[in-house]
Amino acid sequence: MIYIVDYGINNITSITKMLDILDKKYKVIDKPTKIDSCKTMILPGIGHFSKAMTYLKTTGLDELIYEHVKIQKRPVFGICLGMQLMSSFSEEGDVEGLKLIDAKVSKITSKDLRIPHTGWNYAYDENQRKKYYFMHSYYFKDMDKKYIWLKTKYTEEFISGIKYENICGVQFHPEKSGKNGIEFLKKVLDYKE
Amino acid sequence: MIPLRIMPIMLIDKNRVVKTQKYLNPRYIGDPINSAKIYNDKDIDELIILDITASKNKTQPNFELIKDISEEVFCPLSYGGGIKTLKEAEKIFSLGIEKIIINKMFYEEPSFVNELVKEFGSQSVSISIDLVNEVNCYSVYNYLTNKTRKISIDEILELVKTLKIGEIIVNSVSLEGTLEGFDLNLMEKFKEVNCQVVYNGGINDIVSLSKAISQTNISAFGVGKLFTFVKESVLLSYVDFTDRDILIKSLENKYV
Repeated sequence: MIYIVDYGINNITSITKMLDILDKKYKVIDKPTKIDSCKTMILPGIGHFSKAMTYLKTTGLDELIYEHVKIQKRPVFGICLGMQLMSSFSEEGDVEGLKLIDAKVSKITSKDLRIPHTGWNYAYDENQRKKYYFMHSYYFKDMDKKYIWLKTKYTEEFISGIKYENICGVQFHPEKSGKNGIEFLKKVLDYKE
Repeated sequence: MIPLRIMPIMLIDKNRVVKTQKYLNPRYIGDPINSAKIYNDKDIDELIILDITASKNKTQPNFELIKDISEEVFCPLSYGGGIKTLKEAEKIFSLGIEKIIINKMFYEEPSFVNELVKEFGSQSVSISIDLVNEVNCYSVYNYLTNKTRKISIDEILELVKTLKIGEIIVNSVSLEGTLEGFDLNLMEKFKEVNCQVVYNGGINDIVSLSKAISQTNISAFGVGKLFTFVKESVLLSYVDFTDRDILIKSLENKYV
């Protein structure tokens, strides 16, 4: 069973629609609950970092996620903001994150580029290179290198995917990336299960 | 790379898709869900949905319709029309929309836009502004009254700087639905803005799109009439792969 964490603001419909196509069983949780049957936890992806953290802390969901990922060592998959929330700190609101990984979220800064980075761009490593939909003003700037998986170029290269042990996350929105997105989600979720 | 975005704009009037010309004379095009599905199947970059009567009729966004559209497609969606409260915005996001577009409230209550950004992040909040070309100067148009607003384009640019929104959709009212080509001067006005800028109005073919890409620093375009009609008949379309390659090359050439 996949558990999708609802932190108030979300586009969960887009994710569940894809999970239905992939014939995956899921449950949406907005407060702490029994997670014995939870295999993979999905942290979905839109909204403001500090708002989302406040919600997670107020409800106690932060501890539940920590328990699932760090104590029980079960898979977690974060999308966009959901991935950033796993960090130790974000400049978006200057607040601490879930501290699942050693990383800091910074604002994209550039004189020549328009921020947010919006649209279809390639995410790649040695084995793959596909286009997905991005929509973000923040990204992982400083992070423990062992997590780095996919990269993307928005004139400069940045980290667009992380993967290490039971932790996985992407900066783009697979749930909004049509066929590429469905394939990607399938791969990630099947790998986890 | 810099992503190129070419986005069909779907105008909604109640439960129907319409197409206007210079914001007037809405002509019936078809069913919104069906139209969205057709665009989705053409692998579009993003779909812009604008409800042009919600604010006029002082009604809430048509949540039912937004949900029905969103359930049918897998492409990124922007929605604008009738959003007045944080609750409404939240509901729209929960239905599967990534970006909300604000027009009326941007003028009437800029602090509302600020609240939206604080709540949902700047990447999820766009504003849409309507401009009329009046020989060497632009006036801001109120689509609700068909009259000019008192604010100037420079004042808008100042306001935008303070609001931290993610995207501005710049609509040329004078060219909307005309297929008469771009207003490069208008695009030039938004050169210094550092959020995303989407130009809409008059786009007539791939050659002019390619020209606009190489002559300005805008890489996102809203397209209405060109993707709605073939001659005078309704036939929804999109850029094909060959044309897309040409456009991507024009964009890449600029930034090497």
